[in-house]
Amino acid sequence: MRPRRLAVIALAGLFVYLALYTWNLRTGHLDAFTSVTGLELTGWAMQPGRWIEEKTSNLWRRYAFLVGVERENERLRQELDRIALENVALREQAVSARRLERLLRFHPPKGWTTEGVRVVAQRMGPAAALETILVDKGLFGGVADDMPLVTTRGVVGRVLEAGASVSQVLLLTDVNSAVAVLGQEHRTKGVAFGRGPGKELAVRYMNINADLQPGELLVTSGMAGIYPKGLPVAVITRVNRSELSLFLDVEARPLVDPRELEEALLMRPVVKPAGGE
Amino acid sequence: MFGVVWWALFCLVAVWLQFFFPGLDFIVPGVVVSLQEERWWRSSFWLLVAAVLLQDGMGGLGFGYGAAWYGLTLLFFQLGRRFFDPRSVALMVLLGAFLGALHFVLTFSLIRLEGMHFSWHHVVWESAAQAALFPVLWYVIHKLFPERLKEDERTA
Repeated sequence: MRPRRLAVIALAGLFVYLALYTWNLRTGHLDAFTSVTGLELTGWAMQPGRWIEEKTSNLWRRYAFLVGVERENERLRQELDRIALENVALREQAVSARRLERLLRFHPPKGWTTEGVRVVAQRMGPAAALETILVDKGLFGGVADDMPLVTTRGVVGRVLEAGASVSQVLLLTDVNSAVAVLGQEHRTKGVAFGRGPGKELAVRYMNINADLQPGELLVTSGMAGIYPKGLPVAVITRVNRSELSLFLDVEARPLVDPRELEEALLMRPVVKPAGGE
Repeated sequence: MFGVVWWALFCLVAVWLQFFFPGLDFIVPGVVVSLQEERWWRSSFWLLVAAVLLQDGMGGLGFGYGAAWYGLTLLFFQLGRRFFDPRSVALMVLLGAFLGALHFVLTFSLIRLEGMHFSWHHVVWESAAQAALFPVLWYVIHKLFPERLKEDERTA
């Protein structure tokens, strides 16, 4: 390709790119399109893979168990292995059932309903600069942007982008996440900001005179309108009083570790029928 | 038809590798192999469109990263083939270094354009890993690429 032709194509490409980028900023059409295509395809790609992964690891475990077994003990050992695997599977089912039971016992605040979702994947791809997870419900399941995701232990994050049947959830720990919180005992208000994966939250704008202590639970204040009031968010681990600031310097540990999350609850505000009292 | 199946399976494996290695792109070496070995309008273009949709869809940023990422990769490759053999390891190492730098620049620019923040050390590590991994992945895909899909005498 001749240099002049390449330069013309590059310039034309840049023009088209900027036009598309600014058009998308105003309308969000391309974001919606990539959500119902790329995000959806990713969800489809992940789900059969999960099944294959489970089957493969089971096969591998069976094979590994049988290596080096003497011939006369083979049948007995196979039987033992089968029972052991069955036992592991049953234990896993029991643990899963206990987890789901705990989720079922969760009572949403008044005016909110909850719906169970499974975590499909963590953040993926080069454009995944934000700390996110993918869950297996999307627009078809009634999911909308900004819906809170919680567990019985506390808040996980909020929906960033809803695809057709898969949604992306922004985690509390992401540096762009901010949640209005208040101390459960001293009722001091503040905002909990994420500082990255594995790091504690930075809680700002808490009154310097507040008698906060490490160990106090922070719950959502409901001020921003995204999360209902009173959901547990984090536990205070450090309180620092500076003479140079009007606010306390507070750090708090999130109650939910998203790396270990398998199921969670999406919270949806109850829509009152039009014209109803 | 065989080409469609091959690239669909490739994308499936790449998406799964991206699940295990967050922040890295495993599709881009395949796109480069396609540009080297196939007619662009028959396979490379469609693979590029699929890759842009996949990466922008699964990514947390708004639309723009995938188009710029693959567009600039294409431009660098076209420029590079003027000076190097299109299948040379030297060009692939250079392209890897370019992709490493591009990941950082694009993430930084698009995050700032959207008025957000990001974890620096994460992106720096991802950029370094992408730069180091790209030539290796390209070599593997290049070796695995089926002979019957090659149209090299028309594209090299």
